[in-house]
Amino acid sequence: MNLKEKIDGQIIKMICYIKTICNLGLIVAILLLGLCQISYGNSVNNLSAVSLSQQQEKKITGKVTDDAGIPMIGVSVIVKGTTIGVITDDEGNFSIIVPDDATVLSFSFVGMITQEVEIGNQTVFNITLKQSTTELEVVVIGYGTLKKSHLTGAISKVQNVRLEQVPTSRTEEALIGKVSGVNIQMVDASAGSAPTIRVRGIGSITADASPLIVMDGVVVSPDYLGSIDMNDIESVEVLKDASSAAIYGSRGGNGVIMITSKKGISGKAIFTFNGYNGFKYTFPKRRYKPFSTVGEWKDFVLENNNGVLTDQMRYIEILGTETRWPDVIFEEGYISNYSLSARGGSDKTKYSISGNYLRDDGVLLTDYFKKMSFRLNISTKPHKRIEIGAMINPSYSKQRKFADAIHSTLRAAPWLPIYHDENTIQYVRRNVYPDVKVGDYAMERHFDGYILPGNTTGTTISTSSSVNPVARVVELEELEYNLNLFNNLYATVFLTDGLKFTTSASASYQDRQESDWAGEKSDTKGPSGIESAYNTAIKIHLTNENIFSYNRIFGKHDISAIAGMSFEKWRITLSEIESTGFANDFIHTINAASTIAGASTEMMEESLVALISRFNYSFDERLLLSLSARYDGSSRFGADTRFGFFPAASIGWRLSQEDFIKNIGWISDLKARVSYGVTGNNAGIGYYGSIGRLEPITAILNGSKVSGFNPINISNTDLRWEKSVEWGPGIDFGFLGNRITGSIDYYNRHSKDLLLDQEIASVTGFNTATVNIGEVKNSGFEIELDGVILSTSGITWNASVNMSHNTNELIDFAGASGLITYVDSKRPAEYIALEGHPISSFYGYKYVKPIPIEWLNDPFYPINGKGQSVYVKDLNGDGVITTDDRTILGSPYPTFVWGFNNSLIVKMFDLSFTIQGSHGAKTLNMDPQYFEKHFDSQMGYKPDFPDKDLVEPRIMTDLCVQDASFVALRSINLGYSLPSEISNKVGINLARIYVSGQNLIYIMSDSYTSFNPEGVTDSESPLRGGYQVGASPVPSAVTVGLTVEF
Amino acid sequence: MKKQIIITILFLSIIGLNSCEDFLNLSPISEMATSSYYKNDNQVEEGVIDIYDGMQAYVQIEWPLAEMRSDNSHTRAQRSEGEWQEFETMNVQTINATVSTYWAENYNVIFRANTVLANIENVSNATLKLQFEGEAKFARALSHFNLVRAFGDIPIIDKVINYNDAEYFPRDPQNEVYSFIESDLMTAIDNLPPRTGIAEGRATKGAAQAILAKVYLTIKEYSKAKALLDQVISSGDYNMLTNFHDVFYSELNKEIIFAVQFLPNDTKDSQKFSYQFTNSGLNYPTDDLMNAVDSLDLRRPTLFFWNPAAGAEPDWENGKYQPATLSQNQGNDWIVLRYADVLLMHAEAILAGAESTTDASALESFNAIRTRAGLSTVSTLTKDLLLKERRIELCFENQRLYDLIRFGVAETVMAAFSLTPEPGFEFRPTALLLPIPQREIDLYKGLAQNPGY
Repeated sequence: MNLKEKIDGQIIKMICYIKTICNLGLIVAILLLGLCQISYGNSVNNLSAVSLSQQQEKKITGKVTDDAGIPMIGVSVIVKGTTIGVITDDEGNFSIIVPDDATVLSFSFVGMITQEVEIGNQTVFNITLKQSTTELEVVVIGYGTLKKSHLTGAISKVQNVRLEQVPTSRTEEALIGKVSGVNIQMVDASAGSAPTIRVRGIGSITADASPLIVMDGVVVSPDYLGSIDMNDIESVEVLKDASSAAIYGSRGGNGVIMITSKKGISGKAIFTFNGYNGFKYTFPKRRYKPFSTVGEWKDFVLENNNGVLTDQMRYIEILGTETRWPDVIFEEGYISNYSLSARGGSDKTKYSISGNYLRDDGVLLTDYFKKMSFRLNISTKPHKRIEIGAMINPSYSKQRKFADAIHSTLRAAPWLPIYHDENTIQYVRRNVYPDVKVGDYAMERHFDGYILPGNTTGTTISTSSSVNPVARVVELEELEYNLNLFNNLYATVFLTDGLKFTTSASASYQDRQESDWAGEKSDTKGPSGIESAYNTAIKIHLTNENIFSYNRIFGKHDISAIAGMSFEKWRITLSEIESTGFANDFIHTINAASTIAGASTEMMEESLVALISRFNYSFDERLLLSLSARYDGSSRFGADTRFGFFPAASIGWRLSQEDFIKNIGWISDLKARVSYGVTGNNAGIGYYGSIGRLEPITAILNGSKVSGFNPINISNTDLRWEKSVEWGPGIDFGFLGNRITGSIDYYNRHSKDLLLDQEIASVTGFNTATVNIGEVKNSGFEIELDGVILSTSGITWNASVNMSHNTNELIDFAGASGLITYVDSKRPAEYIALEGHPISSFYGYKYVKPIPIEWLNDPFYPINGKGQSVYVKDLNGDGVITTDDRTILGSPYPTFVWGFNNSLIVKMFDLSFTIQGSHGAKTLNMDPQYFEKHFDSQMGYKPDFPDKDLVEPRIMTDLCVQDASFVALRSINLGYSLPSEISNKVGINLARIYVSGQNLIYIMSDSYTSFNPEGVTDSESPLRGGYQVGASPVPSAVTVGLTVEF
Repeated sequence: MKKQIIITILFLSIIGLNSCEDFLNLSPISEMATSSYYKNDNQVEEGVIDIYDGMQAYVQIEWPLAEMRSDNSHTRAQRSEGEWQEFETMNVQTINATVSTYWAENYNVIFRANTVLANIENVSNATLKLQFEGEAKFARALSHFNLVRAFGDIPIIDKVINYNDAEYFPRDPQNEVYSFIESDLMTAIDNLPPRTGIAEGRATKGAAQAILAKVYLTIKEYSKAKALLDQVISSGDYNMLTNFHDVFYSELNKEIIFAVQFLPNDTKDSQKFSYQFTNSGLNYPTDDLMNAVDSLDLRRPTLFFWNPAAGAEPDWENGKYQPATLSQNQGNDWIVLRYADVLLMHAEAILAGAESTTDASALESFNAIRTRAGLSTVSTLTKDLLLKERRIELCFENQRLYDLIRFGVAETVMAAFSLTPEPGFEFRPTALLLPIPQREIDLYKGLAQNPGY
């Protein structure tokens, strides 16, 4: 036993020891909980007493102005501890009826310091609000909060201001463009589909690069973002740098997104209703660049064929049908969302209950997403030293997916009708298709062999043997049902001044069912083609955390510290059944099948143990220090390597507290900081990745199945944590009385010991082996700026801008540098993993010019056809085109991403919008290969084409590597709030109607020819990023909504 | 209330204090750890079964590289829609995925065989031990034989190796590969029972003899080949079916010497070659082949299938593995070797490289094929007649290219074929060997590429 093993052995013992203590702690907490139950009746009684009592009332009036004496509109005036409140009118005046026993009035406004005044006997109040400095702002960090002024890492905060009104079914999409360093990409724009989130670029080569999601302090699955309601979110914090994320050690390597839900507040219940309704659509028809109409193609033929139509075009002219497939496949959708919440409580007990219903009927034929979610947050203080609470969050969703791929539907011939009618039925090739009748789906093949007037042989116009594209969508049914239960219970014991102990237990249950049905008309095979598959995935995640935290100020020394442990366990159960042999379309479930083609279940488990600690220190509000350390053990690794150590440190200096800066009037806040941290990642290996494993297999002997076992991997017990080391300086500043605030960050992250499914020589019997190898660097800048542009009588205008620049570089690929891979072996457009370049780099030839159409087999058919091959550049000038003439054609990572947010309040109107831009990314778009029919034999060159050696297929050139840059008006929201004197009369605190839009403007590059430059349709490996084929289009939405608070 | 609390505490103590040591020690639930396996007869046999499972993979993708690279098959797929045209025009790119998959899947079978051989000492039953060793060596030899014919010099892998065992990665000369194959098949012949003593689908003495005979023909050891083929013929374990069609559509028949078996409509054990090789639109018999078959040849309706619903212009399809239903998951077995081939090899062994022979037993073997086909018998067997008969009898069975090479006429036949309008390509003699997959060279720079790539 070597030293390391000894140490690890000691640590395991220690952890077990601590766990025992923690369990005892848990027992004590439960005991206390039990005691609380005894006294719970009292608090319930108190609660009802508040709401039922009849009270005397009095009227208070006044005016609110800012520093300069300018009246402020829209300031919230609330009786503290209640929900009674109004907002000031366009002259800053307010009038409020308060209960006789009201003691304190609170005045609050975004960007201003909240002021509280004693009411006493006074009935008129003239209040001056001051600009807030960052002094009071609090930021959620892992396992606690910190004053923003004490922050030494890079953490961005998004306060939920009207984000719930952005018409989208996914929470993440409302965050697009709000934070620097975070790239949220709508890779699949169909209804309810998840976008990808990347914080500061892609670090890992094989592992998932998604950030960790933490909901109210509990680590949740990324799927959780699909079930939460934006109405329930108070704020979102993003831990971007390693020193901040290291507190989540093992899994902080790709950043951490911390979501804080809205909690109850003491006082009478506030009911909030928010609902919107609207329609969705996709781009105007002018975007459908690749598709010629029949008429346009006829003109092309006439122009290039000496004014003579080909037989095929003559036939199509006689047939006289035309279908604009994008208009059929893309349809108008609608979106509606309703949520109702009640928040309130007493001094001791606070609650928040909410329910939400959403329906997003997407912009593709058949796709929709429906979701219901509910949430209860409750906390109570049964004793002055104890707080207990619970969060319960069930949700249910149903999604119908667009069953076929968009490219394969849109490539259908433009003359093909959807259904046969009296006209088209005359052209059906009866000797082959005797049974086709009016109303049936039309198939291209039906129309072949028609003998044109003057001809003796039939003319063939089909280019595909597939059934009608509408049949391939409508007659297939892919449904997904999700039931998620997310629950958390906690108990906090306030032990002494500043010291508390919190223990929490959470359980989440995620049940996903998918059913796939292929109906009789979805293929040419008739009933024998009917297939039904059903699969389920059940994930259970249990967490127990036990944290001591300490906060104390001794004179000039402000100390906060945490220490604790975390235990997590996951269990995943997968099952699937596939079946065939249905007699007809009526029953879609497998009981109607005569053949079970396959059935299996599988189960996996994982566990994680962590020791967590952090120490924050501030001296005299000037010098700041943060140290953290986390020790993680994961079941995915072998016994000797399963523990990883993740330390971090950061320091800050608040220059604005120093005399030499204090004297500079225009600087109101200035802080310099630098951070260093190590984070980890274990997602790159499977649940049992370090163990050599056998899977059950079958072979056929004597005509029947026999079972055996097959080794599926090479055992590697040395596998250890993938680690990212990051450092970076940053500056936070506030100028002109904090009218302008912002921060600038630089970072440099090296991800090492990457858990890589390294390609290995196949003579070993395997193509890959999981190893710790290689290195990737991400570095970049982030700038965030917030400013109050105008703040005069009746008008307030805030604007903020954020910008991020990231570069990704493969530093070390362990001897495999230069490895060429592709997504689809049938269309091998290449990627290269070359040291010194981004992990994913598109590779191929430079386009020069097309082959003249006289050398194509038949340039006039099919419609939209383009020659498969094109002349490419002879880069090395040796006179022939060889593989040496390939070069790097770009990478899928944007180099510059920005967001521009505005909020304008004019009297009772308000307007806000977000513009986002992304530049520098490219996408490998395979759609042209389908839309332009490169694969059609007519698009090949003639056998005697002399320049055979100078051409390459278009898909191997930069014609398919297209600019994925875009600028979008992500969201816009125009609202009108009812003046308080009117709303108060009907007993409403706040009423606001609004019109909201998403992606109303979406500008993409001219060189991009499909429908979603953000689209990614194969994201299996980071070595092959930005690949798209048939990406669903970016949806736009316009909605009208209403928010009422009463 | 107090009682409840006490019960709760007791309950929690039980949960909380259990098995902390095991919290992070998790074992696979739906898989097994390799380290604890292959310890007894049954477990090693499951490793043997695994070899046959592995064969199901490579036999499905062999036809594009063996048959389409001949004058028998052509495709309508374009270059940007897959590799089919690369095979048809004998212009295979070094990144061709089918080629690298074929390489990998054969070496994976070799790995599976080596896993059995590494644990063979754990088999206690002496008879089974001999049989398992024979089966493993049969499969290992067959895969090496597949590879050496397709690629030329190849690495010989005679044990389980790890990804850093680079000394095993370079190519070994063909003659060493053939000696290795010979030695493995000799052991297999010694160890394996005849057809009657073992389940259909497993390797037999007869199968090992027939494969070794083909190996001998390939390296021109005609007398050794003849001796083995005589034994197969005289064993009485195999015979020709009367009806040619039944050879392909009644499985496990007496003409089959070795076949890889499949079941229809099964996610694990169905094959896709029936669909791809016949009515997917990827593969059609060439006019050259169809013209070579006499219109009165009784085999013709089985060889070529007219499928009116299949295409814009319905065309003749490969008729040997027509799917039973329209599903892609089919159950037709893949025939690796059958008795008709043994008879033709027998004639070839006697011909022994000469231009013609009138040897009675050669003629007897050869005419058996002609007779079943309803064709006239011959009294002098020439090399050309033999080659043509092999082409027709065994078309779409992945024999044609290797027959042409073995008969020494591949260059002339393929060069002439390349000038016919159907494929219309430029034939280069170096194209008779496939390129070593580029990824293998990228990963081990010491692996030399074949000339012409």
